[in-house]
Amino acid sequence: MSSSDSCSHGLRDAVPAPAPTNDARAARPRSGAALGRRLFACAVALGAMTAARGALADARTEARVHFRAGMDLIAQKQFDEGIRQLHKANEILPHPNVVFNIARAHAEAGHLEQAIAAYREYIASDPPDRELATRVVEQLEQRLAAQRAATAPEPKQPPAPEPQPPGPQQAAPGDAPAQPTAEGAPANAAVPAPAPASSAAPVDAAGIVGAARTEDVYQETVITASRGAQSPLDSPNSTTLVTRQDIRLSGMTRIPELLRRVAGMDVMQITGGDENVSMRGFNSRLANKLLVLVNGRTVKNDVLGSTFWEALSIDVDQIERIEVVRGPGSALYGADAFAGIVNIITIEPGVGKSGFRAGYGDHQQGYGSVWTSAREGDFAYRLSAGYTRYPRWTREVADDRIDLETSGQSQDLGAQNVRIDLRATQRLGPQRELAVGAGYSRSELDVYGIGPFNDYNLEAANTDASVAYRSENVNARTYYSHIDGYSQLNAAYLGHPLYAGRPRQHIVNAELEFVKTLRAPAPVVHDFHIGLGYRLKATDWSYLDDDMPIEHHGSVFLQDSMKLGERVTLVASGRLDYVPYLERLIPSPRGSVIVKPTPRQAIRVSGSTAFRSPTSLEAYVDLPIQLALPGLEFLSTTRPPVRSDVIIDPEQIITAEASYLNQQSDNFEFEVTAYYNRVSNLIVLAEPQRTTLSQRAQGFGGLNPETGRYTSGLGGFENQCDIYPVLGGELGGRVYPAEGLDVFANYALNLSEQELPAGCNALKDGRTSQHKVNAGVQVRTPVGVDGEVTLHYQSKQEWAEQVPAGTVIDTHIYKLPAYTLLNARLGYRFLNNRAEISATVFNALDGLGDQPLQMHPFGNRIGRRFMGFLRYSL
Amino acid sequence: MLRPTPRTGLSLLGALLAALPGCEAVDVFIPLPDHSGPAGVLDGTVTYAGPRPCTKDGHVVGAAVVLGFDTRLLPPPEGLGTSAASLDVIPGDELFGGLGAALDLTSDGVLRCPEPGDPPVTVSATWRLSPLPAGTYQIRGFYDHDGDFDPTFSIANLPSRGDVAGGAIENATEVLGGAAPRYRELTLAAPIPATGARVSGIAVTLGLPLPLERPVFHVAEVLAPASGVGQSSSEVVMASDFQLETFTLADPVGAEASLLRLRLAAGVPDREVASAAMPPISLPVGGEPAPTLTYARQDVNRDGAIDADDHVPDSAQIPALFPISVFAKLDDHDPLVRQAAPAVLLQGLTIYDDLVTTAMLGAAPLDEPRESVLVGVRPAALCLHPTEPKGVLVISHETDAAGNAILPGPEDEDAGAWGVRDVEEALTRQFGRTIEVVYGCLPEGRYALNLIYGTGQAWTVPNEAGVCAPSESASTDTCGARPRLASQDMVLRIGPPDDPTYCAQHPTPEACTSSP
Repeated sequence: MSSSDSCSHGLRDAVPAPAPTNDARAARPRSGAALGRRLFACAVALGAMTAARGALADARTEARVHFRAGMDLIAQKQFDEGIRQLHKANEILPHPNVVFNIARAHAEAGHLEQAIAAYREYIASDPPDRELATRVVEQLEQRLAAQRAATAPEPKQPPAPEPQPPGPQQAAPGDAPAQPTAEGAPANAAVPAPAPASSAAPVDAAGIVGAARTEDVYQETVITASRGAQSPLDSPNSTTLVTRQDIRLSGMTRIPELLRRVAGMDVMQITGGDENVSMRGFNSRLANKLLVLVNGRTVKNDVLGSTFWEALSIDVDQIERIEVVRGPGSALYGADAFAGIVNIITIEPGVGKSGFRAGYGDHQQGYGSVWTSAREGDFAYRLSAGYTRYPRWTREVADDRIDLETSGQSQDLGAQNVRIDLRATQRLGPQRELAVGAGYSRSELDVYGIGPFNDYNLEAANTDASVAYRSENVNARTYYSHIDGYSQLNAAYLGHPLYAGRPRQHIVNAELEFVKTLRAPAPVVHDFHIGLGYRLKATDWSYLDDDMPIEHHGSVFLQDSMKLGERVTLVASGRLDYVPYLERLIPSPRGSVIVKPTPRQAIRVSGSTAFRSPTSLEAYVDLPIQLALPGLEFLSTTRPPVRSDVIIDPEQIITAEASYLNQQSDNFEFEVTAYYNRVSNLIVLAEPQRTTLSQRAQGFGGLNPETGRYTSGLGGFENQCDIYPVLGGELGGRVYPAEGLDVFANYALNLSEQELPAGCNALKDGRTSQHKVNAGVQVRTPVGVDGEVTLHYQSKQEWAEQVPAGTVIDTHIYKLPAYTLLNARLGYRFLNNRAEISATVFNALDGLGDQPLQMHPFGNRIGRRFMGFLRYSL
Repeated sequence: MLRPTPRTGLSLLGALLAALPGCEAVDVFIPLPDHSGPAGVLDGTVTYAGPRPCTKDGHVVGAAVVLGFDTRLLPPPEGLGTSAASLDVIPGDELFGGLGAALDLTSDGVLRCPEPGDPPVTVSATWRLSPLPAGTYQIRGFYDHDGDFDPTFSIANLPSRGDVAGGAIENATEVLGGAAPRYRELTLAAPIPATGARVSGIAVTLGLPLPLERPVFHVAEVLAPASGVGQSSSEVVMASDFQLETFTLADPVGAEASLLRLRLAAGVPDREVASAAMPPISLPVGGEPAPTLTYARQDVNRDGAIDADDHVPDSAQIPALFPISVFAKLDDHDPLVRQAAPAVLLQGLTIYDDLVTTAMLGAAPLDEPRESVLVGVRPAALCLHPTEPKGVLVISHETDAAGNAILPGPEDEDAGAWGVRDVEEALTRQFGRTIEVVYGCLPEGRYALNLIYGTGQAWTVPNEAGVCAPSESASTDTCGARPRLASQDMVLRIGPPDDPTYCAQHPTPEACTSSP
């Protein structure tokens, strides 16, 4: 395809032209500088390939179609064609239950040898019922032996072709995906032809193998919204999945950029190492409105309340999927699940193949990840390690500045991360499992703090260790996480400090959950979740009060999902959290009604509240901050010596939500959501108050012997007096118009108002875009070429930001224009899909607009970046 | 049928590696230039030569304070500045750290000060002021010997007796001989270059112990003319169209009686002394010697000599005296903050006993502490935008009630009288900008009372000792956890006119009411 060389970095031979046409040749750009023509050419190339070759639809949907067709045919005793359909499904997305059904269908059809082979393949995947399956194989072998003995005088049947199993393990992002050929058949495995049927065996064999497993194994499942696996159709909250396919085809290595495609998600990059994410508004520097989990374990830092995404011990190649719960989740997760939850689910130990991915891009971007995964009987593990380097988009400090002192960190570095992560599981019996894991990462980040702490360097070592026990009725988990950091300003005027400090955090978290399904009364099926939680939090930092106590948080939660027949489900959830700083219990209720007109449609109405308790910094800050006049400082403290009874209330949100989800068709799905949020008590920096003579009388103020500066005032944090009612909605859908082609788009509306109680004169904040649009196209072809183009639009914003000005902190309005972000990836698979090279471009439209892209008024200017990758699976 | 091939893949990999860019530089972009953009830096060494410091609780008492003033906003008496452009502090522990064992740093709560005969010490340390905008600066400073300085409060934001003053001066030797200091002018050229700007190696010398306490005062007596003035416990009100009854050289006694005069007594009233002397107010009252206010002659033209040329701007017969008295218009929203733009000042007339006696002082040196000073309030307001090259002097009436010209016109000036031109020239010299005399009603509002010594030591009423902060619960006698001194809550108010028609015809100049 001649146009492919203009897509990115000389992929001249990447796309073999299936049917070169004059049109296709005409798509070749004459100038490499014409970015628009490049992108157009890429689109033409991909479109032409799709049209010409009949490529592949969304993998999960395709597999589901084949699975359903196969099971229907088998139920109608059309075994041969049914088995063929199941094989197709398993080729696209392997699943042990599909193999089981193949084995079972062979047995029912009397293909004993094929049945035995398929059962062995199933047992090789190490299913929980492998002992039972082994006994079935033994019985089938006996039947086969008896059959052969009975027919011994007859000429021996030629042996049936040995089926080529698609492999006992599921594909994973680190693996090359299984790809059928252009004709739709497996490229490397022929569908086994049924052996000639024996005349006597079928009925008996069917009696051995039991019932078919008809549940839709390709139905998307989420676990975050209810702490248990369920379809998004049954979820009490609007839930969005970022799938393996999305991750692989996007080429993104930053998790927040993967989240950008979720309707209602607010994502902003401030520096090359500082991404902030929120949901339905209220994003900020050191964003803290979203609860971020990795396999259910919180990864935010409790000192600041924020998540440093580039400091995780995993990378995108270890992720199975990302579940995004849109809306508050304190009813199950307590504090901090304020605006939503992001739960990163990693690939299970033992699943997938070993491999590596390496990438390099302009401005010395670097990415490396290597992983190995294996299963040995009941034991499985996954070990990964990686390295990432992102430059700053722009830097604030030129090398020749003579008025500044700088930190030792490279002024070009945005983020640098080395990491290692090990997760292992040990099966203890049917539906019982022990999981252990540990991770370590060491990161250097350039981030943006709050107040005067812009352009801030953070070096942090993150360690975590976890143990979990899972069974049918009891789940228990404990983990420990530790952060040891070194922090300082990137630069300060001569004579001003860099505020070097060493933030540290120890968290011990324990949860015990009891799960039970029962009927009471008989028509009503209850799914009970009752849990207890404990969290020990010990943080210290030179920015915090020396007397900050070790905190012991406690919680209890209860959820009852009541299924009233096939169509109506009521979900009642509630949680009580004890917050030591507040010295009180905080309740977080949630109620949902889910009505399903059909099994694949859901109408949901829910209401809930959530809260965010003050972070360690907000509650215990105790830091003298030098003013522009070097001899003056104000003491930033929420608990000043003369007002030690001051307590910051938690931020509060009350939400009502209604949504409609339709997954009725195999060709499209869509969801419409409307919500109303009422947000109050937002925690912000307090306007510093000048020191008074009364405070001097109480011994506060004057010359601080430790800093050699005069204390002129008191600052800290406070609850903002205004209230924000927010009316919004999200509309999103995904269409599969042809095999190999996915089109997705969503739109989010956010109408935020401000209520000013009497005496409150806070400036109105318009930091959330009223309109956000995401759209994308994913293409996978049988010739090995995959690609994705995504477009993101956000309307203008107006940030009410607090900045130091002379001897005070002032709030100003900073306008941020609307922006459009276009990202693309093109990849080529070869060596039987074990190897893949790809190239990505981020912010391809850079330079075409009136203004350089900034996602925050104080942030870097976001430019265009290219990266190339090589991935190889063993 | 086309299939993926290793050859294609490897070719693409090679092409990818070849096409990938390398080590491009990251662009510089400063999102908030006001906060982290290029700025100026002044730095150097401060050398202290004076008595050994006091120590207490293991620390040296006090700190060296280095102040950078924009030359357009110099502090009184030279200028109209209300605060320094920047301030650095070198704690005593750092400045005197090199003295080592010579300092008694016992931590027992006892204040240890040197004996009068103890030899002086010379120590030095570095100082630095940044960030500074482009401009021309003077560096001044002092060592706060008694540890009572605090820039946060107007009652503690200037040096007091015993503090050792100085600056970056050009004539250090002459100053030691008694001459007025001549401060270096340090320029950070505009615009500040992208690299920032820095002037280093600036030597600041602190070597002049200040002999006087700040001129702490309270209003002891209001001597009001028959009309145009009213008063209450916390303010003296003068009508904006106030007209002098008599203002002629032929009747100096009548002219003085026509003025609103305030007798400002040193210290605080007896009933407040105990509270005033205690922390946190800690005024120099209640001990020995009794507080005084010291009269001295001003070297108006700064020629180093006190002579007949050193007179007030509006009369060649009346010598200019310290303490200077200035009434500065306060911000409408803050009871203690001076209105910055425009600065509106009523220059008081410092009277030694009475106008006749004052006029008779001649060229003789004067250094006389007294229990009180008498100041007259001229019905004239200077309106200046601190950074603008022009200002106006608005005088409430062109004549006194008898029809005598307040300031003789050009014809009389040609005849030798001290008139409008002379006043304009004198004020232009004093404030370094063109001052034009206009006639109109005075700007209404609250005015703080200021007494200023030649050393720059000053006192302002109202101040924190008399006015409660918003966060302090106020009562008659207390502000939160500390006493309140009612004597320190007094203002001069320029009130509504007695004759609104006059003000309608002679309105307050716009230069006095709005920023340019």
